[in-house]
Amino acid sequence: MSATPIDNTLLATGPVEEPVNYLNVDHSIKSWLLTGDHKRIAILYLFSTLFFFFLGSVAASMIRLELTSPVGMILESETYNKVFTAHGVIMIFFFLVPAIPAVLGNFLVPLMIGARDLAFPRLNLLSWYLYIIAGALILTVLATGGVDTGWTFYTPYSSMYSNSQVTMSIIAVFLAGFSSIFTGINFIVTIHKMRAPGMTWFRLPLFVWAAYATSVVVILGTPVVAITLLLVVFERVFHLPIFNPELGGDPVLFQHLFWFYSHPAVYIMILPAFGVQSELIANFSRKRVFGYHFVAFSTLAISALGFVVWGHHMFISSESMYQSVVFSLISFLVAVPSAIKIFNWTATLYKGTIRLQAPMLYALGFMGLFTVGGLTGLFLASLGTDVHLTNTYFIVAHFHYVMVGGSITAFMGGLHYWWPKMTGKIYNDGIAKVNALLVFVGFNLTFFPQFIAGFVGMPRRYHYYYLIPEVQAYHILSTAGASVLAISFVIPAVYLLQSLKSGPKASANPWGAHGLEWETQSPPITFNFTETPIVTDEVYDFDPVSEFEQERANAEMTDPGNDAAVTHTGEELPSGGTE
Amino acid sequence: MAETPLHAAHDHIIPPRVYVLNLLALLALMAATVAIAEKVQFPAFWIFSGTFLNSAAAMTIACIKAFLVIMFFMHIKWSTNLTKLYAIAGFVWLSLLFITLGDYMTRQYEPAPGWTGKQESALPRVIGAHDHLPNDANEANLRPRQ
Amino acid sequence: MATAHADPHDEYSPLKHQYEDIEQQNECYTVGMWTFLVTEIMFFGALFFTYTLYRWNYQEDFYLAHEHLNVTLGAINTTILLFSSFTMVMGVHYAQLKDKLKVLGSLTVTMGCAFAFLVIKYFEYAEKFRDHLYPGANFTTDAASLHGANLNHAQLFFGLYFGMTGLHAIHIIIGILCIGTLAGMWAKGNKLVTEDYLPTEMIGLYWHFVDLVWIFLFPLMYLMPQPYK
Repeated sequence: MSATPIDNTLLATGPVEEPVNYLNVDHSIKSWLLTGDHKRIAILYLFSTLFFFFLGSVAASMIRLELTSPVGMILESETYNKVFTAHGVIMIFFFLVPAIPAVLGNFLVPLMIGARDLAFPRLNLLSWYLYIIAGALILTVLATGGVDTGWTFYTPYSSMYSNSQVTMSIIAVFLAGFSSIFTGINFIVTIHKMRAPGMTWFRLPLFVWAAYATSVVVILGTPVVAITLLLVVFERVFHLPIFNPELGGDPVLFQHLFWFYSHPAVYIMILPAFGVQSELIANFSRKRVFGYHFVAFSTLAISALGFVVWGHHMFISSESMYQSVVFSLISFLVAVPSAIKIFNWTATLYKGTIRLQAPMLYALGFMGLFTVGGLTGLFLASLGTDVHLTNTYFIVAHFHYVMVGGSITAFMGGLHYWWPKMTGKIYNDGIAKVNALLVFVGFNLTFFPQFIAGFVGMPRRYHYYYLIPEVQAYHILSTAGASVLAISFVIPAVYLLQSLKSGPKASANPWGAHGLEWETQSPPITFNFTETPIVTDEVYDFDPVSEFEQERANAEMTDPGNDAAVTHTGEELPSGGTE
Repeated sequence: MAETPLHAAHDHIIPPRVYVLNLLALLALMAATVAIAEKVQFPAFWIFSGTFLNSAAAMTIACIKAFLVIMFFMHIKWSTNLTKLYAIAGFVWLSLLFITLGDYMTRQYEPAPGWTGKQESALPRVIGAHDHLPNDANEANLRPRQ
Repeated sequence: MATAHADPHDEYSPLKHQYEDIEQQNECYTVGMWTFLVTEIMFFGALFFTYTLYRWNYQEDFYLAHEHLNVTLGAINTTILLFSSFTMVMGVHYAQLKDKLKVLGSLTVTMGCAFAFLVIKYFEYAEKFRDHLYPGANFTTDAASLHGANLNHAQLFFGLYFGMTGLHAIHIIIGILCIGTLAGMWAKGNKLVTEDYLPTEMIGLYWHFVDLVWIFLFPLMYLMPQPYK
C-alpha cells in the first residue's frame, strides 16, 4: 500500500495549527445534528449508548443492593420487577445491540474498506434519531412508573394483566429495533458494493466480516420481534386477541415469535465483539489471524445457525419434547463455530510478538470469559440439565459472562484501540492496563458466585430468597464484585476524557497496526482518504520477524511524549535507522 | 476520475407490452383462484384431504402471481445477481419461522396434555395451595385489565 | 475527491459523493430497498405464520367465521391493487423516459386506485362493526350470525383479520404519502427525481410489495375452501 502523506485539501479559514479533520472542520451544533459523516454519527452514538449504559448500570446497582438481603433491602416486589426489567431492556436494546455496530462499526467500516462514507449517510442519521426518540420514550417510561414484565414481555401477563407502561416501552423497543435495521441495511450495501479497488472479500479485515454477518442477522430477525411486540400492543390497546388463552389463543406462540429474534439478537451482540477480538489479537500479536477463512466462514455459520436454535429458551414452557430435542442438538452445533474462533485466536497468539497493552488485556480477558460463558451455555443446551438450571441464577451468570465478559470487554478493548484514530489523542495506557485488570477481577467476583447460587437453587428475577438463605453469601460476594466493576467502568471515562483535553496527539498509526483505517490521518478527514486507496496487500500483512515492526509498535504508545518515536515517511527512527 | 455516463449501461427500457401482458396474466390468475376456491371440490389424495389440496392450489396460484410481480413489475428479471439473492433470501428465511409448526404438530405425541386445539383450557392449572409471601400479593395483578 | 460529471456543462449531477459512478449508486439503492423489503417480508411473515397456526387448529370455526367476508369486494380490491401495480411500473417506465406528464398521470392513477382500495376497505370494516364482529367486549354473542362457529375462535379469526388487513391498510396509507410526495416533487420539477429514475423505482418497489402482501392475504382470508374430509 502506498503511504499517502497527510494532505490538507480542506482548508479551514484562519491560521490552522492542526490539520483539518472530521472533528474540527465545523464546530456548529447544526453540523453535528445534521451530519451525514459516518464518523460523527459514530461519536453521537458513542455518547448516547454510554448514557444508557450508565442508566442500566444504575438499575444493576439497585438489583445488587437489593439482593444482599434475603428479605429485600430497599425495593418492594413491584418495584424490583420494574428495576430488573429496566436493566434488561436498557442494556440489551439500548446498549448492547447498538454499541459495537453503531459506534465502532459506523466509524470503521467505511475506513476499513476504503470508502468515503457509508452507502446511505442520511439513513444513518435517521437511524440515530430513531434511537434518540426511542431513548426519550424509554426515559418517559422510567419516569411514569416503569414496566414490570421483564425484558421478555411474556404474554399473557404483558398483553392482558400488567398495569405498567407496557405499550410505551414496546414502542420504544420497536423504534430502537428499526434504528438497528437501518444501520444493518447500510452496512450490508456498503460492504457489498463500496469496497476499494483490490479489496476482495478475503482481504477484508475480520471486523468487516463480523459487521456484515451482524447486519444480516439484524435484517432477518428484528422485524419478527417488531411485529410480535406490536401484536402485544394491539392486544392491549385495540383488544385484538392473539395470545389470549381464554379465546383459544396460545401464549407460548408469543414465546416462539419473540425468541425467533431474541436468540439471533444475542449473536447480534457477540458477533461484532468477535470482529473486534480478531483485530485486537492480530494486531497485538503482530501476526495475521490463524485460519482467516475459518474465522470468516464461522462468523457466517453462527449468523445462519443462530436462527434455528431459539427453542432452547422454551424447554420448560410446554414446548414439545420432540421439538426440544431438535433444538438441543442444533444448539450444541452452534457452539462449534464459536469454538473454532477461539482455537484460531489461540493459534494466532502462538509465536506471536505479544504486546500487553490495554486493548490486548481486554482481548485476552475476552478469550477466557467468553469461553466460560460459552461452555456454560452447553449445560443449558442439554435438556436434562436445563430443567434444573433454567430460570435460575446459572442462566443469569451464563449470559452475563458472554455479554459483559464477551461483548462489553471487546467494546472496551476496541474503544481503547481505536481511540487514537477516533479522537487523535493518546490516552494513558498505564492506568488503562491497571483498569483492565480491575474489570477482570470485578467481573469474575460479580458473576462467578452467581453460577453456584443458581446451581443450588436461587431463582432469577426473585428478590426474596429467605427459603434458601445459604445463597446470601454468594449474593454478597456478587455485590462486592459489582462495586469493583462499577468503579472499573468509571475510571476509563476519566482517563479517556482527560486524554481529549491534554493527551498527546496521535499520528496516523500509533500502534504500528495494519489496516486501511491506519493509512489515513488521526482523526481522519471528512471523506476519509485523500485518494481512493488501491489494495494490493493481504490483510494483517505483518512481518513477524522484523525488528522495525517491533520498534514501531512499541514506540508511540508507551512513549507518547517522544515525537521522535512517531514515524513519518523519511524520518529517523529512535534507533538511528531510516524508513 | 474519467467521465462516466449518467445512465448505467445495463439500464435498458423495458417495453410497456411486457407490463400489459403481465397485468393480464395476473388478472387471469386471480379469476382462476376465485373460481377454484368457490366452485371446485378436490378429491382426497393420499394423506391430503380435499380441503388441504384446495388451499394448496390457492397458495400455488398466489405464489405464481407473486413470482410474476417480483420478476416483471419489480424488475428482478433484469437485476444484478446480488439483488436477486436478496429478493430470494427474505422468502427462504421466512420458511425458517415455520419450524415452529413442528412444536405444535408433535405435542399430541407428548405424555402430558397441552395445547392441542381441543376444547381445553390453556390457563395454568393450580396444583396445590401456595404460600403467600409477605408485603406482596398485589391481587390486582391476577385480574385482567379492564 | 472524485466526483463524476456526465456533461461538464451540467451543473446538477445525481451522483452522490460517496459513490464512484452512477451504476454503483443505482445498484446500491436497489439492493438497499430490497434489503428493506426483506425486513418487511419477515414483518408480515410472522403474522402469516400466526394465521397459519390458528387456521390449521380451528379450521371449522375459521371457515364459518370467514363466510361473513365479502368475496366480491375482496376480488374488486385485488383487481384494483393489481392495476395500481401496473400503473406504478408504467410510472417508473415514464420516469426512465423522463416524460414528466405521463409520470404524473401514472402516479395519480396509482394513488386513485389506492384510495379506492381504502374506500372499499372502509365499507367492509363498517359492515363488520355494524354486525358486532370487532373482537373485544362488544363481540357478538349470537353464534347463529356466524353460522354456528365457536365464538371464541371466531374472535381469534377477526382479531387476525383486523390485525393483518389493518396493518396492510397502514402500509397503503404510507404508500399513498410516499407516492404523493414523489408526485409533488415531479410536479415541481425537483431534479432529485427528474434527473434520476431511481427514487421513482424505489417507491415503485415498495408499492409492489404492498400488492404482494395483498396477493397472499386475499386467498388466505377470503377464499377459504369448505372443510370436508
